[in-house]
Amino acid sequence: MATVVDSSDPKSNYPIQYRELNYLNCSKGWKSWFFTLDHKRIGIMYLMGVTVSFFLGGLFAMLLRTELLSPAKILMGPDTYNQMFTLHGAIMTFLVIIPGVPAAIGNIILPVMLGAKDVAFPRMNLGSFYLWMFGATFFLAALVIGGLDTGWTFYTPYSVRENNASIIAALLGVFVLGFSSIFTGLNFIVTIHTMRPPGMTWFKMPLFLWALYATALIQILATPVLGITGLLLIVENVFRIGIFDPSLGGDPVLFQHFFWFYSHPAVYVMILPAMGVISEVIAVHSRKHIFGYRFIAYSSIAIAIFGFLVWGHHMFVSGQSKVVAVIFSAITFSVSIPSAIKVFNWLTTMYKGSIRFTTAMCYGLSFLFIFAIGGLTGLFLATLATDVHLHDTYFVVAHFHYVMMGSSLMGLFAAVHHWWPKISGKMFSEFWGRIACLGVFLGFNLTFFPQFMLGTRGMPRRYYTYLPEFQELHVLSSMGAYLLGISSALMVATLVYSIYRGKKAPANPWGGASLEWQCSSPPPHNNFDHPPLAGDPYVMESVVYNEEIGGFVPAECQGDNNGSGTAAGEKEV
Amino acid sequence: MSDHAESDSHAENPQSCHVHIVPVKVLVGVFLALVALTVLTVEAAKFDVGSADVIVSMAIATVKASLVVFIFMHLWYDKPVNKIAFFFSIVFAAFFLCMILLDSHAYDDYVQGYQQDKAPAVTAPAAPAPVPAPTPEAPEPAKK
Amino acid sequence: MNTAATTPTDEHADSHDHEHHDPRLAHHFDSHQQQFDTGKLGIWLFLVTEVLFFSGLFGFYAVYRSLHPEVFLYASQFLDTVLGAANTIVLLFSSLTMAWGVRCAQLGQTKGLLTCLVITLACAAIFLGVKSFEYTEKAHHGLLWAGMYQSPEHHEAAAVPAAAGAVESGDHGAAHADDHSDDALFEKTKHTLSYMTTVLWAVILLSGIGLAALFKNPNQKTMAAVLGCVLISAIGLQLGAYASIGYHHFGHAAEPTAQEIEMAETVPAEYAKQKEKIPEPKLAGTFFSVYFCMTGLHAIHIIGGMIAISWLIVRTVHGAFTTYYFGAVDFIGLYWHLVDLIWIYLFPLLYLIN
Repeated sequence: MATVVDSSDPKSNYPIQYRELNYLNCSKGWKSWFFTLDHKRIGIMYLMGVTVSFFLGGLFAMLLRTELLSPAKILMGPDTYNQMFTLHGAIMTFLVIIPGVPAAIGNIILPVMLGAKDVAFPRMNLGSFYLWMFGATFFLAALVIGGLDTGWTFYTPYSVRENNASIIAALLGVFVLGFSSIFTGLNFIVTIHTMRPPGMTWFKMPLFLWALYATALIQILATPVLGITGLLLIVENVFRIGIFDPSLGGDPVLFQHFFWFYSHPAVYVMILPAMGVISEVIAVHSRKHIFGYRFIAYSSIAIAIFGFLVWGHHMFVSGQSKVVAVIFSAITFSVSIPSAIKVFNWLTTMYKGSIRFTTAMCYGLSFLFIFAIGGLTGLFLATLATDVHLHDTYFVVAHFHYVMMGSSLMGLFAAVHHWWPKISGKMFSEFWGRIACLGVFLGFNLTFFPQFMLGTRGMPRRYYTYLPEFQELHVLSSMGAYLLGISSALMVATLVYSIYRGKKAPANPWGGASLEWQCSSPPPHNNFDHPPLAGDPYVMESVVYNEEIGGFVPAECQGDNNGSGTAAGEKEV
Repeated sequence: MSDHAESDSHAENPQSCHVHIVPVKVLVGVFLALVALTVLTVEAAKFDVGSADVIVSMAIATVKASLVVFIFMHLWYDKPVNKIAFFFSIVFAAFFLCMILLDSHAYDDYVQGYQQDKAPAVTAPAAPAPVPAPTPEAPEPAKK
Repeated sequence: MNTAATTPTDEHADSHDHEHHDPRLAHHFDSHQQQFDTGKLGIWLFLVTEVLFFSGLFGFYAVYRSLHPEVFLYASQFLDTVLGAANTIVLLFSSLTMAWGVRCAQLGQTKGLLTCLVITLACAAIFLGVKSFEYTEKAHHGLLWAGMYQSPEHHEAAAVPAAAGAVESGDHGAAHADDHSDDALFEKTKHTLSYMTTVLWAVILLSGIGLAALFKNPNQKTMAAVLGCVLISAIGLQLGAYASIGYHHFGHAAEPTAQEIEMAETVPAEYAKQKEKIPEPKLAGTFFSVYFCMTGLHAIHIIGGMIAISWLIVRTVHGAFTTYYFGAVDFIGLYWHLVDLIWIYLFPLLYLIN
């Protein structure tokens, strides 16, 4: 292994690769973590919280799939089953996917990518983390109290009734988590607007920042409506104000409007940052300039805006008026345009690139495959007539797992592996990483592809039991779930192992040209000593591989003596 | 998307902050106008002008709101990005209201039908006494 | 919303020392202008979320008004337009003083800023006082949200002893059974009002303690300023509440002239006059659900604003704001104007339905 250029090495003309004093060890003690204003530490805390929630939600999923191995009772009764799928959905949505990429990865990477010292409002950032913790506590309370069986959507009138402490706890959780999400989004927008370094114009921003910007727009504009919806539902439960409760003259469909006005855009809160990650990962690991930069940037914004106009497609069979349904169906189709633009641009980026099948890239490619399936099956559901047939079947379940779980989490996994050397300063084992990726990919498809078939054959979602002819596919699906669970655990184990036994990471292990690869790994407390000069973030030729360092260095540092880059892929460019 | 706060603007004296300062006369004038409009809207509400009522009072409220937003909140003199942000919030709120309003009458027929089905069963002997009309088809006043 | 260093030390404009040691400039900003612009964009985006937050309630209002216009027509007669209008003007005046305060801060006039902030705080408290009277009065007439709503016809029924059985709700039915006469009503109003204002007093005191705990290294000046804010809020609250009681009593003088009745469109009189004209629709309680949700959330925002303004007052007392560092005043001012803005819409939507 090559030497790592230390900050104490004055002879080297290479950029500093490693510092003794970095953000991870510059101060010690629990207080230095719990009261930190450093965006990177806050991001790490988010990452840990998200991981714990992911395994909690995943555990529920395993139990559910185990129960569904047979139509008879195996582990739990129907009531427990209802509560479990509700908690699985609510935890995975509100605690894992929504904060996953934006709050955890975004917090760590966004300011570094911008060459800034911190986000615009560091205290608010810490505050939003604590709001997240607070919200998570409410969810745990709901879990402990028990009896939350409304589904994660909290549809009225299920969610308006007596003895509803757990519903109220969960709604408070949603309300608080909403504000956590709002403040993160607000912070990101302001940071991107006012703290870009010299030279970084809007169209020289890395696409991940565009994606985070679009995400933050949705968070700011949609999440408040979720907040007020949750609040009104709490008030409805406590005081019985009769807004959503039909027994008091309320309108339950109004609740669905309120809920989906947020929760559909929230789907894009989940997927857009993942798309941003994929734009980075595919460009860097193909060693090629991203194709169609502006199209990808604009399509992020377009998805954010379209995302607001399609919520009604969740309500095609809820008694919504025909005019509204037709409008929503038409706009839903048009969301596929910017999504497809992105996919085509990623594919074209890979074309004639020198693709390296690193773990991050493997997750990126899995994303493309899974997102294609998830996106295209969405078109079936956007069609009014087909939707009436497929509504509330396993087809829908499979579709949104392909998009939300498959694509968003593949994006999160890709991001974690892509930026892991930067975050932890350690290289993980590529071999085990790829094995885990293969397991996740196969397990995921094995779990959810059979569900498409189940759905088209009429298996309704959220059912505790089923007809015997569905059993084969259910068993297949459960097997996939186990594989998925084991592989995710393997992935986490690989990463955690690397913290203790991994090699020291160079500043730029993959050859990225954006700013976060210019500071040492892991970054120092203030990220950069001097505000860096930003150029085009996708000119991969600006960095070349250096044997001695084991990573990439700026082309001008390499000098004439070492000649051209020696990375395997470089020759093909 | 406007680019403001670019590097050139904060290279100068770090202890300065350029903002627009509103003169006292303007502030007091705006306040008096707001009071006058409040009185006006109260008086206007006393005249029965049918469904135009809501439109009139909302128009007056919007004039008042614009005065507050543009003068008291300095939005008139503010950066375009802040104007756009606020403008978008109004647009989104309006869109949200329009869509749910567009849809809120979608099930009037079902509700009415349900009540007509149910009514004879309950008050059958009473006569063809009209349903107590909880959901009248009366033309609702044009909403904001 | 404030992002700058909060050390409230008094360094006047002569702090020409190295810019990186300026305690008013957070470490990750290059200049005060950047810090100000950042905060300004931040607060505007926050206001965006506030507008959308309230849009849910406006949606609630719009849908139910379009579905049940007769409910709104019927029930809004129970809201006192004069009190509403007075409150509007109080809030508008507080907006004026807030805007004036921002101007003073921009010009570095600390005394003017302090005066303006104190007046703003007092106006906010008066607003809450009037509101607490209105809530109390509604509660007395059983005009509550849909789940608790009691038809005013119950008062009529209660007047006739034989019909006492018609009163169904346990808690409130008993309280209402004998309060038909106006005088008894006022006694009760005053009584409950003292209860309600106690609650608000507690809120104010707790906020004051919380606020005082928030400051690092509090000294006597800090404590005195916090205490002053608490006092101003409490006095304003009482002032508002008793002014409305007085007004209400005046409206119910022994021999009210026709003009007075018209001016004071209060519940029993107005109801007695109009019940022949407008029969009580079903779901009348929905209006009060809307009313309490909207004004309640607005009142919570007012309380939040009062805490923020008190914080500003304490920092002003310490001379924290200068001509180049006044962001916090401006940002809280913007928030305060938004609260005013929402009331500007709430007032005609709730009080002026004809």
